[in-house]
Amino acid sequence: MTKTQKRAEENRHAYPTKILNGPSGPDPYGRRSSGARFHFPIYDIYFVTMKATKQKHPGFSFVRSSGGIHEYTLNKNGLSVLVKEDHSVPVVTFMVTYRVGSRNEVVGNTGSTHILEHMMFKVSKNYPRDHARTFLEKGARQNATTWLDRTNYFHTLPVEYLEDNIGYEADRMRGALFLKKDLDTEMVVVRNEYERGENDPHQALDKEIWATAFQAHPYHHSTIGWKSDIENSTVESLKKFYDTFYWPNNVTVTIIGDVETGKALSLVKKYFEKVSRSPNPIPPMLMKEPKQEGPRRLVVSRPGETNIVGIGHKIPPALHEDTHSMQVLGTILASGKSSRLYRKLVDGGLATSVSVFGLPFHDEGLSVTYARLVRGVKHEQVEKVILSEYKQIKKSGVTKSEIKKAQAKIMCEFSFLGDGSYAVAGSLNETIAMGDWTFYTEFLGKIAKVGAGDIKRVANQYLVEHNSTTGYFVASKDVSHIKV
Amino acid sequence: MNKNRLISSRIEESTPTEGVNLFSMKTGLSDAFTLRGSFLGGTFFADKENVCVPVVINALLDHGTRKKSKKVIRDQIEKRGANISFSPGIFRNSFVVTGLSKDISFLVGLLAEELSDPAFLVDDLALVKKQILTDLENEREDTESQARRLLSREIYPEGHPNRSHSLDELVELIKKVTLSQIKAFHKEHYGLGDFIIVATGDVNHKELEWMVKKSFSGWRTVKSGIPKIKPSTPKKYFEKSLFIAGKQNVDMFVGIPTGIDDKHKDYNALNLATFILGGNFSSRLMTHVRSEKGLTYHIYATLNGATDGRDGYFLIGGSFAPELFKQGKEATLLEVKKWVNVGINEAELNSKKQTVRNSFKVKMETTTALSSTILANAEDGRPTRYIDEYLDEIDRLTLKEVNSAIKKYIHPDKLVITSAGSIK
Repeated sequence: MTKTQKRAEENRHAYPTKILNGPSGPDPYGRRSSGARFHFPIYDIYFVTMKATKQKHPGFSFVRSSGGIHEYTLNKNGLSVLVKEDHSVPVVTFMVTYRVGSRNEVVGNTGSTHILEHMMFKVSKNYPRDHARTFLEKGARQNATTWLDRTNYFHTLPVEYLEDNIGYEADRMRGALFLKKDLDTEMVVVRNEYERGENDPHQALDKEIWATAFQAHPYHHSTIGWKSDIENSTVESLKKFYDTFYWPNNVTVTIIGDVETGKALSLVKKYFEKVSRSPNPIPPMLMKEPKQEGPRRLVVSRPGETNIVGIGHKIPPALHEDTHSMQVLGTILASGKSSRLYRKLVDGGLATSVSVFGLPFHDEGLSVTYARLVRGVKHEQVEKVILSEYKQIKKSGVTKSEIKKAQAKIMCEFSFLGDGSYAVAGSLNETIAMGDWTFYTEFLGKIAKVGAGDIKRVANQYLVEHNSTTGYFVASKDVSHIKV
Repeated sequence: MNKNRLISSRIEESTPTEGVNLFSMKTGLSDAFTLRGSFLGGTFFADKENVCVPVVINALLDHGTRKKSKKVIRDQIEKRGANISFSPGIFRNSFVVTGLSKDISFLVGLLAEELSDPAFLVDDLALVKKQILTDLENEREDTESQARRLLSREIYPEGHPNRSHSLDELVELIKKVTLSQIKAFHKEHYGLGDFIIVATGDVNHKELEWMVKKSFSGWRTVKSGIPKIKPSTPKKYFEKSLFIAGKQNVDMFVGIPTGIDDKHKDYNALNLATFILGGNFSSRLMTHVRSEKGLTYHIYATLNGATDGRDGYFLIGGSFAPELFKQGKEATLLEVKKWVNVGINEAELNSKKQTVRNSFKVKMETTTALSSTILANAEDGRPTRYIDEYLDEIDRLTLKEVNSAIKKYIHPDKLVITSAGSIK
């Protein structure tokens, strides 16, 4: 009914910033709001997998296949390619994932990855200005997003336009031109994107929780960047960033849809083979967050009406063996109306919504439980209920039926949330960023193996006070400090 | 004749029991389904004393039935990994069911039970009212929602279905909702008659017919129909702003009632014209106000509120930093005036026709988009073939028709502009 109800469960840290939140505001991942787990479609076109692996594709080395998806490397420059055929509709998604995100930024150039993403749409060496728009004219769903670990550019379009799209992406990979006049206008656009996020109490709190939880690691700052860094970005710094990270050996392209594998690969070879490998190795991001040795707390107080509690705990990188257990735990805690925290908080009249955001990332991340408070309820009371539930699980574990229910929920959502070529490519995009795209195809199998002992163990290991960062968003009536 | 019958030829339809229209389409999604539907009984049918009754009913539908407690129902749904949700509307309330195909029979049965036999317990009423009241109070600081609400109240008279109540009004109305009002409204308006179900995914129409007949026949039939709405007429140019402290972004809306619904002969022409103005990233507004002038992250134009015989409205929405609001507004109005006074050209028209046709192909790759499209078409009372024929209608539009529609319905001297944020 109300907009607040609809947004009530949205919770994300530095939500992937996009070049465009279109008129209908598409979420590039078709992500649903309740909590955050990985949801992947189930593939059963196994015979296509077998056929594809036996064929040789000149210029490419076959790497591996999993779940109907085939990985190749373009030998000339190290470009990674994922292909999956789906001939149900005459549509294809072509997605380019650069393995660079805001984790590759330093103080003084926060937000660079994202501004660079915006600038990539302006001018490219061999294409007219704003050529990207021509794909919209052809009916494409088009966007780009930047997040902590990656930047992606994608089009879902009628298959007859795939070649033009591949050519364009190959050209702007190393042929993008960065002009000051474009940066001058685009900086204001990006700043307005930042301002829109600041209007939202949830986003504001989320930003502060991460900034407090991480003190050294670049997950500290939001992908949109700090405002003064946005305003002071220069063509030179963006060009330097581009020349460091935008190379084919730092990229995976994904092609899902109505195209034969051989044809897809030959198009990729035709346009991308001429793009050289990086002259220097892509610099790794080596910073590790120092061990947290005590609870951290913060308050964000702004004029308004909304009150929120957020309790975060550090969780391991995506490829860690505990990730799947944490996903199941998060589902048991707050996914759906029969979940523990929903019953205690929402049915208990203390909150209008509760959710757990525990999306795993390339490096150590955060699992944050958010609750929007019912009017008149105190933050401390809600925090107490959440911590009490954590304590209960750490002491007594969870039941087998809770685990089965969580697994069923995750598996069912996987089935239909991966609907269409874009959703598949979008899911792969996130797992490429994690460090291994097969996280996606193997996810369900690993979820199915999580047991009660795993849940109790990870709860005791990660939901501990010295590992926590707790934030309150407090609606303030005092506006005396606000300048209009 | 449309030689590209992409969708309609794949849709099956029937009336498995009187008062229910069933549509289904099998897609490539394996083992899962989406079931989407609606029925008349929204806020417009409530007594004027309390239009919020349907909203509260909607929130109570998943709080148990007379046979099963809310705990039991929620466990039954979620152990199957499924989801059943309800949304209130102005004329039509809607529902969405998602789950694995093996559970579809059970879930259809549960849906019917929740709709026809809700528990309506006094404790749940108190709980739900508290939650809705909190959401309403929180909405006071939402700049986009507030500006939009303000616009609807300025361009439509009281009693018009497109006019929103103020938050103050809604808060008072929610507080006053009683259990007897809820039960009375449910008895009068919840039933078969204009009930639509659309199922997509891994579904079988014959099996669905059997499930729907088994679960829904025997439920009462209710009389319903949408009354004729008196169209609103545009006022003089007018601006209104709401100050909300501590906000870094201002949301602005520009609007005017068009006086026509989506079945009017001019509607498609006006809709295509509006798409050219602000329908996607390559539209005039995004090109000039965002890309060239760098004034906003997001600006769009659309037609809204024109279904079910309502006279709809033209709408522009945009966001600006407070210090750029005046410039942003002026840049927006400049584009509107050019669009009205000069019109669009042949190249734009042909390009956007192609966009509409191709983007339809792209959108229809997902089960979700398919079910929404089929449902919207059915709610509009159009034959299924119209889903494809619509593209032919767009192709036939002429430049003269489109430019005439702009001039006929959009008057810059009668636009209403509302905004909300930290500006005085």
